[in-house]
Amino acid sequence: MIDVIYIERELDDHPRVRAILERYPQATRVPCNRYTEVFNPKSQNFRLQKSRPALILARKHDGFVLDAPANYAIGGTRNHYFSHMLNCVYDCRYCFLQGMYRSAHYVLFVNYEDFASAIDAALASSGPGCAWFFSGYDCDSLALEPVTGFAEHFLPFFAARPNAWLELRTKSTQIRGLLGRAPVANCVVAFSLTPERIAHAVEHRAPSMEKRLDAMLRLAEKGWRLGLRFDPLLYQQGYREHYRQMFQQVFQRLSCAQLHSVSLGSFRLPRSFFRTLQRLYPDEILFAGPLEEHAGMVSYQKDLERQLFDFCANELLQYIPEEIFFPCQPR
Amino acid sequence: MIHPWVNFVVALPAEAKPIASYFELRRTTPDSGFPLYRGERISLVISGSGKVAAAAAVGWLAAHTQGRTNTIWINVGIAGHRERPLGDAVMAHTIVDRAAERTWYPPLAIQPPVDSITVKTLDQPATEYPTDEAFEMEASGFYSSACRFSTGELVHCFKVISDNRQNPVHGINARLVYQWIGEHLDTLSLLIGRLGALAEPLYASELPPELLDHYRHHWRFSSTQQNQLRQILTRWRTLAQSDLLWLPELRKLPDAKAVIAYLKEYVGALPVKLVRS
Repeated sequence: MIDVIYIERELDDHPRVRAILERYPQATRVPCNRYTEVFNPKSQNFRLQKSRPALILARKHDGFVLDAPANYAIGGTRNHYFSHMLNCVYDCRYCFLQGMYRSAHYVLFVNYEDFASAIDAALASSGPGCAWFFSGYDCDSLALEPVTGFAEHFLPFFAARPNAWLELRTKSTQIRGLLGRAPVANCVVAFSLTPERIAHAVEHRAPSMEKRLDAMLRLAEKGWRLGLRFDPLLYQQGYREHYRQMFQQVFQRLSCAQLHSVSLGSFRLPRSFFRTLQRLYPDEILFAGPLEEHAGMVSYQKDLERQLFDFCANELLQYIPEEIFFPCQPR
Repeated sequence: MIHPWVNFVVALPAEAKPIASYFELRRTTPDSGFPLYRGERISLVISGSGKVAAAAAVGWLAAHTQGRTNTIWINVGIAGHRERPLGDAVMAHTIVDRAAERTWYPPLAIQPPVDSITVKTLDQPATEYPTDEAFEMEASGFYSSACRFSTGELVHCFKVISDNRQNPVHGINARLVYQWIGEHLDTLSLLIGRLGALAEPLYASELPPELLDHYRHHWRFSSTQQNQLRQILTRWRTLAQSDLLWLPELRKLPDAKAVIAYLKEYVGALPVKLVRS
C-alpha cells in the first residue's frame, strides 16, 4: 500500500504519472521540485521509513545506462545495467540498498522512453554482437509491475532488438503480464533464492520459496527462459543442510532444460554500506556473524567464505552443467 | 512498549499550558535560556515567536536533555490558512521557508492522525493567505534544528488553525489559543504513541546504560575501549539473544584491555543462528 506520493512538479501531466495517481486516489500527494530534495537529505532513517515507504515519481536526467559491476556477467562480455526504480518493496536484511540510500522511499523514474534511447545508444556504440542489460540492480524488476508497467513497456522493446539481452531479476510473483504475452527469446527472468528458513529470517515481506518456484514453473511452461541467482550465500550454523535441501527442493521441480543460467555469489558489502547497516540494525544476527574487512569490502572470513562457496558450487554442479553455471568467485 | 523521550517546542505560554497540564509536566526555572516544563520522559520549552527563537530553543533543550538520540520532537503551534476552520489541526508534510528559499519534507513514516499539508514559515505574521498552505513563523527553524538531534521521521510540526480569511490574525488571543490546543491533546497523545511505536526498535537495540556502568565500575575503560566494549556487548547480545552479558570469570581479569580481548574471543566463538531451532 502506498499512502504518500511525491511528484516532481514538471511531471504533473505525464501520462504514466496520471495513471499511477489514479491507482492511488486516497494517497497524500506532495509536490516537489526534484526527487533528491526528498530522497537525499541526511536526517533520515532507512529502517524507520521502511515501515511506510512513500512513492516518488521522478524524471531521470542522465546516467540511464551504466556498466555492470565486474563479475555480474552471465555469459556476455558487454554488460550494462539500468534502473527505472530505486529501492524495493521487500526488506531483505542483506540488501546493499539499505547502506547506499538514506531513504527507503521508492523512486520511480517515469521517463522510460529516455532509458530506451540510452539502451539503443549503448547497443550501437558497443559494436556487433550481443549486449546484456540488467534491470534488477537497484530494485526488484517485477515486484511493483502492476504500478510501474516496466516490463510491459520494455519487453516489446527488447523483443525488437534480438542482440540486446534483458535480465529481469526478481523475488516476486508478479508475472501475470509475462504470462499474458509471448515469451521474449532474449529475456531471462532470474529469480533470487535463499534456503527457505534462512529466507524467512532475513528476506522480510518477500514471497516464499514455494511461491517463487511456482512462478518459475508457470513461466517455464509458457516458454520463458529462467535464471537462478543464489546470491548472496549466507552463513548459518549447519549451512550445508540448509543449502543441500534448497538445491534438492529447486531441482525436484525445475529441470536444467528450463534454465538459461545459474549464478552464485558471496555475501559482500562495501565497508561504508556495512557500517550503515550495522548502525541501522545493531541487533541483526547477520551482521554479528564471522565477518572481516578486506580491501574496503566486508565479507565472511576468507576460509569460511571459500568453504561455503565451494560447497554450494559442488552441490549445484550435481544438478546443472558447467556451461550454464556462472559463479561470482570470492576472493 | 518502551516509553519514548519526547520534546515539545512551542512559541507561546498559551500553547504550553494545556500540553503541560495534559502530560503532567512541571514548570522548572532554569538559570538562563528558555521557560521549561518537564515530566519523566517529556520536556516542553517555550521558544518565543519566530524561526530563530525556535531553532535556538531546540538547541538549548537538546543540551538540557543531554543530546539523547532518537527523541521525538514536536513543534506545536498556531497557523493561518485561507479556508480551514479555526481549531482545525494539521501536520506538515512539507515545510517551506520563504525567506531562506528552502524546503524540507518531514518523512511521514507513520499514519498522521490529522491531515498533512504544506506549512510555510514567514518572518512576519500572515495577513493574506494566497495559497492552500498553513502560514506560521517557527516550523523551518524548529525542523532544521531538531533534525540535528534526531532523525526526520521523529520530528514533526503540528499546527492548529488560528486565523483564516474570515477570521484574521488580529482576532487571536491567549484564551482561544489555550482552547484550540486543548482540543487536540488526545490527538497529540495518539501521535506520540505512533511515533513511539515506530521508534521502538531503535530504543530496544540500545544497550542498557546500567550494563555499561557495571563494566565501568570494575575496570577503567578509555573512550576507544568503551566503544569497543559497546560493540562487543551488542554483538554478544545479538548472537546469544540474551541480556545476560556478564561472565563470572571476567572478575579475575586485571584491566579493560584484558576484558575486551577475552570477550572478543568468547563472542567470536558463539554460533551464528539466523534460523532459530
